[in-house]
Formats: sequence, structure tokens, C-alpha cells
Amino acid sequence: MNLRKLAYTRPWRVFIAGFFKENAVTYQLLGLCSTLAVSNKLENAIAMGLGVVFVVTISSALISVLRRWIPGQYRMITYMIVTSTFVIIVDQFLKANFPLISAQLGPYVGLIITNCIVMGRQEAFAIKNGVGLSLLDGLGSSLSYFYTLLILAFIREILGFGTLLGARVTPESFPVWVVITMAQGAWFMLAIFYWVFRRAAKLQPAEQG
Amino acid sequence: MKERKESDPAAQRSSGRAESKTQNPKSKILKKLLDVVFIVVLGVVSVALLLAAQSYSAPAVARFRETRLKTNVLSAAGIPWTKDDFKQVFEERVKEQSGAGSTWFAADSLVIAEFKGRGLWGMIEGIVVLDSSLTRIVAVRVLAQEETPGLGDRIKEPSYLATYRGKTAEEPLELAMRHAATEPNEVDAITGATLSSQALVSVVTSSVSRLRTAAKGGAQ
Amino acid sequence: MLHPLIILVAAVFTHNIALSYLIGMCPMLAMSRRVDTAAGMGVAVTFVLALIGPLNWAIYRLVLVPTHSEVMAFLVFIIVIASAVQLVEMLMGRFFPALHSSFGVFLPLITVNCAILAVSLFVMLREYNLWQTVTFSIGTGIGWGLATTIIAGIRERLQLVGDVPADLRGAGITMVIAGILALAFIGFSGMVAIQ
Repeated sequence: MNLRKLAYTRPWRVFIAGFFKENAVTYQLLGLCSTLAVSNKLENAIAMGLGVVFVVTISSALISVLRRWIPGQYRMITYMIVTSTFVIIVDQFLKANFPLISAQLGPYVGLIITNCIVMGRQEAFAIKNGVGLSLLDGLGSSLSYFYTLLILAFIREILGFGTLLGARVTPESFPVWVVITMAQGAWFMLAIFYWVFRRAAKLQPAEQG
Repeated sequence: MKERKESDPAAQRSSGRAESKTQNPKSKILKKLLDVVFIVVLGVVSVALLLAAQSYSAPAVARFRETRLKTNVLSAAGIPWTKDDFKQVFEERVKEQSGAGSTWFAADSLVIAEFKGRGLWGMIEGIVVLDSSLTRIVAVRVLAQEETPGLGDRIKEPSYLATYRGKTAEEPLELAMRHAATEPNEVDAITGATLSSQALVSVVTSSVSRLRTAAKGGAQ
Repeated sequence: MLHPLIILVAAVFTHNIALSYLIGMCPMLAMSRRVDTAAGMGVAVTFVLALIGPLNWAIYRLVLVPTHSEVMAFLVFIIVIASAVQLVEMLMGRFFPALHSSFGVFLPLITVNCAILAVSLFVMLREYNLWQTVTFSIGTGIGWGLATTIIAGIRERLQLVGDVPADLRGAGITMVIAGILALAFIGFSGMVAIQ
């Protein structure tokens, strides 16, 4: 297959839109609460990122399957019911079979259900497109969230804890930036990432203010 | 080149259901009714699935909790155990007691109780171990918590919990603010996680006082 | 027992859900471009919270707990929130059309404001009674609205000064503003305990 041609196919375009230019966090402005809270350490970012990728991809597919029956008036309720039921079932399954992983993920479950990315993609794409494309759309957007988390966590863990994945990487004398480990300080990191990202993606600047 | 509009021709703009241009009142009401029926059915199915999932996981969850409690009690009391014999060892070396409305465990000369209290985001569960004279805390272990990842959840780290060792069980514990903990009733807070640290201190304090009252009443 | 009024004041200032707990950030960024938009959304959120907080409390205490079905708390709260917002929107459109049109697009957006769900979950976790729930819900709404409005005010001023770097405009500078405000609010922590 000619790889060049692949770049012009619909599935690829759907995926790459969410993955790059329409980055979930810096373009769509979704999933901010969890990004701030969870990107303080690389291991948290990885756990949350994987969880979100899994949930967004499958939830989008689920909504896409049901799309012809979902009443226009009750779209939001339906998204929420489907997503939270799915996540809670997965959580119960983990609790029963992988209790240690479930204990690690405990606090994330709530964060994942209420993560706006899930509903954002369901409303923007899955409700009006086929299952395959919705899967790719969900995958693209959630992966953009994932790498955003990873990049932020990489910097925040080094500066805020002096470690990477728990292993010490800075000398003992390095004064850790405690502020950046907290969600309050994360805003600044996120703003810088936003700045750099918009430059790199050559996006049009928003209007003043 | 302008991109094709992102919508599946079979679905309408903002609703999944096709809507006809001319609708007489009867079909409008019928449609509204069907919409409600859809939601109700979806709700009922979801509730049923959740209850099924819960009952499916309940036995395994109970087993896991029992294992977690017993192995931690044994470790906190310094009693060796293995994956295969911990239940037996627990039976032999740990005595469950009750008194003054609460239950606790006695192992060798140590006195152990479970605690469960409110953290910042969810419940904090753990065990606290006192010495035989009921005056000093020997150990605190956090078995479950839902605090902020990377910050509040450090209350579960053994290195932090080790700071509780040797603290007094006779007075309420306090968080040391703006200075390192020196007094026997002071505990250091985790930087950036004051609220979670305070929550743990409060939960441990009330658990310790309950345990002392119960254990003083004598073994049953 | 925490007096309900203490909880009210704490929810607005010292335990502000937007600036201390950092919940409800997506709508906060989106709605803070202008002061009147922000204030309007704040009022709508407060109104909805005042209804839903106690409602979810009642459902939890009177239905879920006695039937040992706490596992469904999340789902039930979410359904109640979405339905209540829908209902409020319909009733408002029928009986207060002027108010309804001034709220405009805000009402459906409230459903996705995580602050609403967070209130229900916090009330459940902290075991508040009814009065505490009422004041906590109202206080949270006011607190969220206050935070968003403050940010909107700052953004409006920035528009006049006109000095923001091109790629930082819009959401970027709002993040910086939110960060500064959130840091400032750390100063409140520890003042009073409402949990």
C-alpha cells in the first residue's frame, strides 16, 4: 500500500486531527481538571492516560453504535449514562480480578468518568459517525491528552520532586519546586505548553485577551 | 481543499433520530413518549448491569479485603507469614477482641485496630498498632485511600507513616505547622498535602482513643 | 457539628471549588471572557446547585443507603443532574421566557460542569445533613461564579491593555491568570475545616 496515499484517507485524517492540531487539552480545552491534578508525576500520568484512552475510545464506539436511537433531547443524559455505566463495570471487574491495580486506579475512576473529553468526542463526532471512525476519533483525541500529560508530567516531576518514575535524577541540593507539584502551580506549566503547542501547530492566535 | 462535512448522511445534524418536516400533534407526542421510553429503558438496563457487576465482584472484593487486613496486621505485629499460610498464622497468633462497642486485635503484646475515616477525596482505611501499655503508637498503615495522586496519596508511603512510630497515644495528635515535629504528639505534614495529612492525623487520633477505651476495658 | 453558615462562607472563599479544589475548570475557562457572561453562568450554576445538592442528598439518604446500592451513586447523581437541568430549562422556557432567553446556551452547559457532580459527591463523603447540604451547594455555586467572574474581569482589563503575546491569547493567558489566583487562594487553606 502506498503510505503517502494513506495520509489522504478519511480514517487517517480523523485520527490525526484529534491527535495533533485539535489537541484535546490545548485546542479543544477538555480534560483540564484532571490534567492539572494528575500530571505531577510520570507514573500518575501513565495510569490516567491509559485509562482515558481506553474509556474514550470504547465509549465513543458505544455511542456510535447507539446513535440512531438516541433521542436528540436526551443526548447528554445518554452519554453520561453509557459512559459511567461502562466505567463502573470495568472498575468492578478490576476490583474483582486485579485488586492491586484497582487500588492504584481508585481515585482516577471518578476523574475519568467526569473527564470532558469523553463527552466532548461523543457529542462532536460519535453521535453522527460510524463506529470505525468514532473509534479512531476517540483514539486520536485521547492519545493527544495522553502525550500532553506525559510531557507535563516529565517536566513537573523533575522540577517538583527531583525524580522520574520515582528514581532520583537531580542532585540532593536541588531545591524542588513544590508549587509545581500542586494543581495550582500546574496552570503555569500548562500555559507554557499551550503557548509552545500553538506555535508548533501553527494555529491561528485567538483574539485579544 | 475544503473538507467534507463530518457527518454520516443517515444521521441528522444534532439528533440521531430522523425527524420529518411535517409532524402532526399525535406523532409529536408519540415521539416524545418514545424518547422517554428510551431513556427509561437505558436507565433500567444500566442499573441492572451495575447491580450485576457489583454482585459479581462482591465475593472477590471481600476476599481481597480480608487478605489485605490479615497480612497487614501480621506484618505490623512483626509476625512472619507467607501467601499460603497467612490465614492459619492469623488464626493462631492474633486474637480478635471486642469491648466498649468496638472490635480490635491482640497479637503478642500489641494491640491493633482498624480505622476508617474521611480524607479529602474519599475514605482512608488503615490499621493502627499500640504497644501493650497503650501509651505509644507502634505503627500506622494505610490500606486504602483516594487522595490526590502524587501529593495526598503519599500518606500511604511507609517512609511517611514511619514518622508516626513512637508518637504518644495518650494525647490527641496534631500536625506540626511551620516547624518540624518535635513533640511526641506532633506529626509532620506532607508538603503540598496539608489537608490529606490533617485528615490522616484526625482519623488516627480518634481511632487511637477508641482503641484505648476498648482495650482498657479488658479482653473478652 | 459545623454550622451551615460557616460552610457557606467557607465554600465561597476558603474552600472555593474552582480555585482551591480546581474542579469545573473547563467551563471556567470557556465562560470567563466577559464579566456579564461569567456572572450569568455563575447565577445559573448556583441556582441549579441549590436545587440539585439537596435533591441528590435526599436520594442518597432515603433511597440508596437503605437499599445498600451505593455503587449506583455516581450513575444516579448524573442522571438526576442531567434530568433536572433539562426540566429547569423547560420550566423556565414556559414560565420565565425572558429569564430563559437571557440564560441562553448556559443551561445545557451546566450539565457538564463537574462542580455539580462534585458537590453531590462531597456531600455524600462528608456526611452533611440537609442544612449543611443546602448552604454548601449554594456556597459552592457562588464560589465558582465568583472565581469565573474575577477571571473575566481580569481578562477584560487585559483586552484594554492589549499586550498579550499572540500565541498566548485566549486560553493561554487565562491559564496564567487562573494559576495566579489559585496560588493566592492557597493562603486561605487551613483557616477553617469544613470536612
